[in-house]
Amino acid sequence: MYFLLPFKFIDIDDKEILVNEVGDYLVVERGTAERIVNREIQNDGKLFYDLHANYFISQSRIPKLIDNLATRYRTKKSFLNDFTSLHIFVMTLRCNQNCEYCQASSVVCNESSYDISYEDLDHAINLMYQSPSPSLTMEFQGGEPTLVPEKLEYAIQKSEELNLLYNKRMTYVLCTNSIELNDKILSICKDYQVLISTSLDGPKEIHDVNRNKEGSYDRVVNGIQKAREALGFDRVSALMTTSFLSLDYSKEIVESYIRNGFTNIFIRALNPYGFARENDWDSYFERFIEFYKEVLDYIIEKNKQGVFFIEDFTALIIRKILTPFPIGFVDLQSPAGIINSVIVYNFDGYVYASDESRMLAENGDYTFRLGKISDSYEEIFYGNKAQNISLSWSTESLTGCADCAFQGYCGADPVRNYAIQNDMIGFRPTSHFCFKHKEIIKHIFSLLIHRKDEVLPIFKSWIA
Amino acid sequence: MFDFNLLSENKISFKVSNNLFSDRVITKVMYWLQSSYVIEWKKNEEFSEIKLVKKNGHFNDEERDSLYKRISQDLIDFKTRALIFEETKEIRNILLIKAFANNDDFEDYFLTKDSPT
Ligand code: SF4
Repeated sequence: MYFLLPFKFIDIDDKEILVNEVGDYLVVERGTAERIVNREIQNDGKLFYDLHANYFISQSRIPKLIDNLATRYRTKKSFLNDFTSLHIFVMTLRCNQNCEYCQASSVVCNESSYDISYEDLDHAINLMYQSPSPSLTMEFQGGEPTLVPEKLEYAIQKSEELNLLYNKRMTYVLCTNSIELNDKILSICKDYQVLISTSLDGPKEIHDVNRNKEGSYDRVVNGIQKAREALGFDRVSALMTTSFLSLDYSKEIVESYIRNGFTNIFIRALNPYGFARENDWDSYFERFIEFYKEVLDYIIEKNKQGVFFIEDFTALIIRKILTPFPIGFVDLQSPAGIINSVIVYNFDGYVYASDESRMLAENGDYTFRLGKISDSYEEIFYGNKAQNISLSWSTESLTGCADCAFQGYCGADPVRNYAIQNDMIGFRPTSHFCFKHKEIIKHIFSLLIHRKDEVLPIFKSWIA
Repeated sequence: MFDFNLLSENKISFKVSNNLFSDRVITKVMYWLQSSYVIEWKKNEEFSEIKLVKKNGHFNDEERDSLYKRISQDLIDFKTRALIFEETKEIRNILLIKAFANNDDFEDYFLTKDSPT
């Protein structure tokens, strides 16, 4: 006789994956969950031992080591202790590029009305320092934030002044297209150890088409080179976005990253919000999953040949599956990353729950506008808007997610649900977010089932 | 599930015994089918009669067979999930309380009647 502990399950290929409340998994024969519930597991076999040792069943109603399990649960959710740690400052909406898939709705012009004001910067920095988190990341975004170097410098100086009082561990990140990384910008970055996060979509043929500008690739690569020389090789990272065009060039994209000295790539899908609705997004996401699998296969082969190279999203999921720790990635959090981990101070003087939230606002929808930058911390972070959003930000309580075996590895995104499906709770059967995450996590498990000896050492090296 | 029949080119019907599967379980199975089918659900004392109307196109043999297998399996799986949920509700609450409460407050605090005193 045994007692059940909370767990979930899913069929993958010809196996069943059981996942317990803290994300530990077991690969078992299909139908095992039903046998467990029907008390058909003999208490002298290996399966019984595995289920017992991994907190799927217990010999007493309350397991002796429940405190241990509770501590592990608490650790998984420990990102909540610190509350908002990533503070995004949208310095300007102006940009010097005209990217095909721009999700920031940038404007190409010189009007300073699209820049954040000094007054708002002061207020926003004050709000940021009220966060209980001992570590803060101040991330500068746009448009293109290098177009307002004097405000960038002002903001960092102001933050450093305040930090004499608060003594937080600060990280500064400049998200830039690297087109105008001039000496002034690089000297600010050097003085304050600012990390550079840039965009590189792959080889020249793809990057230039995505950016709608000939010569963009060359300028970005030059910018990366310049930044590495000025700040240090590892101070520069790059993000790629998988455009429709990218989907046919998995190997070429990985090779271009390797050629440019990177040891990792983050395979990011397009966000359908803001695009013409007539695009066939179902087919895009199906193709994206195939693309992701090709990229991952290619990267695994590279690693087997001795080239250390990481696919970042896979590494995040693997860390969730194999370690007891939270990963600090806002898309894979429950409660959701918005507000709990990230907040956006926009050039327009308002605070938003996320980047997508401010894009909604640009189209006249202020659902996720939490308040004015000049409002109090309590009004913004604990106000009615935040409370309302919180009703739909946990996978544990969302329809579909509540039963899902991947609940602990996945995340909730009420803003994405609202933007795409007009409803914060969302509808999982047609959600691309759900489809993408489910297929990727399934694929990773499938690799762990069928090619464990080959992939596990590689995956472990990625999270070491 | 029984009486699984193709009623017309785009409509399938089947019955589910009330004794075997709760409304909650059926609802969860139907939830994941809603993207492709319009669902009609009638219930009497013995069974639920469910009709699935395909939103686009017609059923072919392959889809009909795979739908039959899928619904049969989903009913069993969601029933298993419901049983796990019911049986572990209490221990899950204890786990969450222990995880998030100040440990000292709950050291001797047991919520089940057969816990040691
Ligand atoms: S979004 Fe989909 S994959 Fe993620 S937890 Fe919810 S149901 Fe599972």
